[in-house]
Amino acid sequence: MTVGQQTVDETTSPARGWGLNTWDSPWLNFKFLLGVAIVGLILLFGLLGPLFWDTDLAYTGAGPLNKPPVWQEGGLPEHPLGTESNGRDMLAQLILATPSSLKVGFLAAIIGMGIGMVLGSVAGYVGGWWDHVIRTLSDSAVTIPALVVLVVIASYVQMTDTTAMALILAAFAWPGPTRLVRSQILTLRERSYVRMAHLSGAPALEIMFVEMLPNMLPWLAASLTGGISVAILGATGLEVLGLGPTRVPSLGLIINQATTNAALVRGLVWWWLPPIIILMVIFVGFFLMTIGLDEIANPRIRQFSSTRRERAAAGELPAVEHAELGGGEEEDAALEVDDLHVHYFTPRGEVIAANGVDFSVRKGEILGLVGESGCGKTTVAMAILQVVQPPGRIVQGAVRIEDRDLVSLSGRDLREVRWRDLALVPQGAMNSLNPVTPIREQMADAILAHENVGRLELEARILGLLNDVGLPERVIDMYPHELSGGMKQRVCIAMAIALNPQVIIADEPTSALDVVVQRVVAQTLLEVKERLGVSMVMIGHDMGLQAQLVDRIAVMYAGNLVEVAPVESAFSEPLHPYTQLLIESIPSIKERKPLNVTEGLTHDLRNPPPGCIFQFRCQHVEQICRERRPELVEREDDHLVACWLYEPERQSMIELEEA
Amino acid sequence: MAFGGGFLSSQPPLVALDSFSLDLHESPAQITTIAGESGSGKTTLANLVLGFITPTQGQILYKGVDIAHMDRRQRMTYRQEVQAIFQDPYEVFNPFFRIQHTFNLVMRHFDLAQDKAERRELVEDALNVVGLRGDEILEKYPHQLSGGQRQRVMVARAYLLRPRLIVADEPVSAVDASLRAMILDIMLRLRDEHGISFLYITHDLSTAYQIGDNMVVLFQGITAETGDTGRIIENPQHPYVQELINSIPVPDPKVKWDTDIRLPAEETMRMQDAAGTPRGCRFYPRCPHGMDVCLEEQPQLIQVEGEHAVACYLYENDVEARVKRSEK
Amino acid sequence: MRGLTREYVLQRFLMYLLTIWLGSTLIFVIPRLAPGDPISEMVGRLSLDAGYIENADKLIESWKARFGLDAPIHVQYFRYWGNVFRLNFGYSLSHFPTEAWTMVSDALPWSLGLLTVATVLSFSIGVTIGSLMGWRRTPRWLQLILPGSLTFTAIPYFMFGIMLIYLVAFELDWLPATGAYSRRVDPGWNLPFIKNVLTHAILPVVSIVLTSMGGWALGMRGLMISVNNEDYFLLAQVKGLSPTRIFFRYGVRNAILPALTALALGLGGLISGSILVEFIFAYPGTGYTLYQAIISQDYTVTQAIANLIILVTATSVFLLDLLYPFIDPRITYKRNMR
Repeated sequence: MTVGQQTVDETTSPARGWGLNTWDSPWLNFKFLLGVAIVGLILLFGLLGPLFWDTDLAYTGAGPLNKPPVWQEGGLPEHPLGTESNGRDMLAQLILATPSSLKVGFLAAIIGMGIGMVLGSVAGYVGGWWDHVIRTLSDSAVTIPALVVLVVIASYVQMTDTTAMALILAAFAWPGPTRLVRSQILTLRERSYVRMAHLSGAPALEIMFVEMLPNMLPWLAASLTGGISVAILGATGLEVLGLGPTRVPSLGLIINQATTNAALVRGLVWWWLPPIIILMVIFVGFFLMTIGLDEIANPRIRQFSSTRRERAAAGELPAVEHAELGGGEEEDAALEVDDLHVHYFTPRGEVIAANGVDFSVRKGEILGLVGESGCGKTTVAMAILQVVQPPGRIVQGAVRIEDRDLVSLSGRDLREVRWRDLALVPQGAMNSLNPVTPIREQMADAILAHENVGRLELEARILGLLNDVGLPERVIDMYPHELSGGMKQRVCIAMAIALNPQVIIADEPTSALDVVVQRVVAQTLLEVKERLGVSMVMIGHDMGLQAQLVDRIAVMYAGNLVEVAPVESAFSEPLHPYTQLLIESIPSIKERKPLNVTEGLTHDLRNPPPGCIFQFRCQHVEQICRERRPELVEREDDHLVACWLYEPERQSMIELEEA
Repeated sequence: MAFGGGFLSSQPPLVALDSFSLDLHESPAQITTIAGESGSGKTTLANLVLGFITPTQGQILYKGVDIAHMDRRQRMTYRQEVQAIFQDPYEVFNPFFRIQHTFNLVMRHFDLAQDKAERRELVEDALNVVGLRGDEILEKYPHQLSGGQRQRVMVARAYLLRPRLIVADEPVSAVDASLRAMILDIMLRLRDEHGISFLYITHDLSTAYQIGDNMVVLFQGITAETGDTGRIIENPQHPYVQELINSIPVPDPKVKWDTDIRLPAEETMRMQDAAGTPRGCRFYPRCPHGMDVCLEEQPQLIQVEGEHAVACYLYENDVEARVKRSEK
Repeated sequence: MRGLTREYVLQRFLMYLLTIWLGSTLIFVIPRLAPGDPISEMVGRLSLDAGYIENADKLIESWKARFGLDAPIHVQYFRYWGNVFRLNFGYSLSHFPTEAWTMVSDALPWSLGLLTVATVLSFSIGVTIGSLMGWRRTPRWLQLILPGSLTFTAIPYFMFGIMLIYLVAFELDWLPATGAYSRRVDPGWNLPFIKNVLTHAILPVVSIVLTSMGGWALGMRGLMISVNNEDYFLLAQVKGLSPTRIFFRYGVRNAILPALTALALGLGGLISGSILVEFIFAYPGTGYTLYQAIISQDYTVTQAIANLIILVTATSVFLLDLLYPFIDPRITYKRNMR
């Protein structure tokens, strides 16, 4: 019954808008709408029933006793669902009982939600002692077994009508919403748009209702539907025990009368089963609404189910097209990436995240892979490591280490290559270590997955690795939360060199660090590389850092490599207009220079234009750039660029084509 | 457990910003940089100025009035004249509403225009300043705009109010390199053409160098060095600021980092006594020039030249005497 | 392991006391807030049954005095607390001269046994199903089967219990419908008795487990999906660890923490539901005893049981709280990470 609360993930916010008017609105969730429809139908049955059926038949002596439903032998057409031991008509009873059961649930849950919203907002918004008191009370109240207290109360107080019962139930329906609203407000309060509303002069109440409330809606709704079913359950429970209002027909009361009259033993199935079925349908309806709302509130769950569905619908995925084997163009390559294509299969079309990316990393060198956010550099890293997350997939290409194509490996074969030959220094060092295990275990994990090492040797090795990256020995028994960002990143480096791999992929290894710590971590990486002679792919967006660290640089734009060159010539003589732009826009601390402002228009990655991908931002764009895509060609010694500017024959090529 | 608690938590309070003072002048409009690493207190300062938090001690005066004791009218004037741009261009828009909402909110609470046409004109005008057109974006949802567009809309929103001061909290650190220049350029134009001052809060000294006039470098809540931006970057005095500037990677493969630096294993180590109250110079654990005197008390700001001041015993006049004393 | 700190234990213990105080006070206060009082209600009901009672007013007065209900409310409250602390609830009204507490403690083992087994089963099965459902590498055939196990999730325990009784006990006659053991076996540590007890427990346990495990499964699924997207999960894959190790040490190990919080929060609901299950199956635990006490208007036993259940629930939550720091090293970490 706490499903609504369990899956609330306060850190995620909707990736897209909440717009209610669009057809891809998240509110159009199948489970949610199905639930609404089911509950709606039951409600209609209760509300419209009296128009079609004489509800006076629900009272004692209205008909013959113990008649089965009409489709069974002995059934009477004037009592289609049969009658029970007091001669009451079952259909009429159900019509009267259903809305009263629903009413109790709605009333109790809405009152509880109202109390919860007031208390939760006070706790979350006002804070201080109010927060302490409200939080402590709701935390302890939520663990009290409500039904026990209810039963005791009901045994003292004769409940005369459903409203009284709903009020008493509401006394137990507030802690859940209170906790939810409080935590939501605490999260939303820190959101920039809420702060912006403050700065726009909006008063607190307007911020609550206009800025915060709409963004809490799916959570509140999930809490409400969950609350309604819990309240109905509570009410029905009391009624089944015979402690509810006895004068008003209710589904629980019918069950109570059936059980006390031994309907089970006497085989009067039509007495006890129909109310149970109606209740079950109601619960299924609210349950569907709750989990649907959960999916609406939490886009990750939505995405997980949709990728699963899509994959199931696509059936077996087509096999990856492998590039010709034996294409080892470079003798001394530690890692070769060969014509790599990665696509993301989104509901709105295929996003081409990597389009024919082709490069190699030589032994002992650091290759920088740079580009702006969304250019596909991290996708390439993930593709090299064979961990492209769905809905993304490598559709073509090869990743070779020592003539083994990782794309074609799977299972145990792939696991053996991982870390032993190809390690990763991840981007978010903050979250890359398992928060619940000590450093020792996480490092041991990597080593033991590939080697058999004794306990003492293992410890010595881990300590040696920590020492290599300049960390004290006591780090071995610490947990990630006890380390600073720079220390965590150094732990990750120590882990990456544990098996002396051929290649290390460093995915923005210093991006979240302060500049001094960044330098320490970068120097650690350089030291490690010098000492072990390992090859590295250094992914990043900071051109300054690249200049300090890498030997060669590969520039990516919108999924394509546009330039690959030794770092010196890339900086002294960048060929591609995009590389030029990147280098010009580095802010310098040596001289103040006028800012170079360009319009940053990018195309939709789902529909790459014909011709050069940089054409919309390029100052030198010509006719041929709009028509044909330039190939990555070696224009100077070891300096490759994909640009028509360096093709002397470009004019004649166009003319040739037109002819 | 994830719930409960509260009554018994007894953590020593963390001093985010200590004995900080700063004067901003209305004219000429200037870009004042507050620079520092994470935990330096620079975001705390932004929150103080914007009134999101109140200082434990001290006050913030705007045109002579303490912002904590303003009446309603004064507060609205302050709100209008002191605006903000935030770091994350994805988070500053309520995902529930169209871009229009951002401007409507401002229009509703400040008396800027008489009628609908005039409002529209004002918004259009503000968008033009940042190089956008109303019919292109106002009807869209935030997720339909690019990061650069979103950040420019935020600047337009602030400009709409004709503020005297804009607190820009890391406005370009989440934007791509090629868009960075555009935002910085808009800031410069607002300063020069519209006389708007900026409190530019950043960890990035190089962009500060490109556009900043004055500068305050914070370290763990303390002003380490303050003065003219160019002077500080070109000739830093405080050992921390020197370390900071030396650590900025030079975008030239031929000029590699020359010296090796070593940090204590816990690079965020704080100077404090057993009770958790800060004591001595905050930078001591990392300082290459550490002296015994540094352990005793946080150094006060010492004027080096003109407005340029440094909080370091190295620049105290009788420092020789102190060094001698500490050598004993 | 960083284990427990004194501060944490003290904090949780205060919460524990607060919960008990809150629950017991509710039981004390709400009936007194309601119009009328229990004695008048009772006499009223008696007169309804008997048609007419002589000197009803006098009867009410004397009964009030006997129950101490004539004292001012704060005196009653202190007296009430004294009794709760000493676990002294007086004599049972319906089974005089048995003490209320004796009746309650007779019923307690049955409930504890039933509930512990059912909770452990439902939580562990649910968490396992949920973990597998939220894991990308779960085999396709398993992914197709698992959601089927959630079929009964939306159905309240006791309704499912009624249907089980009808189908399995009456129609098919496979298992006994009611009670904890048959009259024909001798209670004691002998094999026939134990076997008999177990067969009687199957249906109640099944009706709780089948209907409640889906909740845990769904929650766990969501948590696993979140963990699936964590950086450390990706790094574990890249490290070349075996899928089972990733699943347990990196996936379940992290996802289970919030699930345990949810268990602590959901315990009250579980216990509430089990009262109805005991009623349906006439299982002689606290829930059934509570029902009987209410039917026979045995207020002392009612109060004793309600307080006991609150006590047991709070204690279980407290124990879970104490367990938590041992599995999540972050919880008692004192330093503010900002």
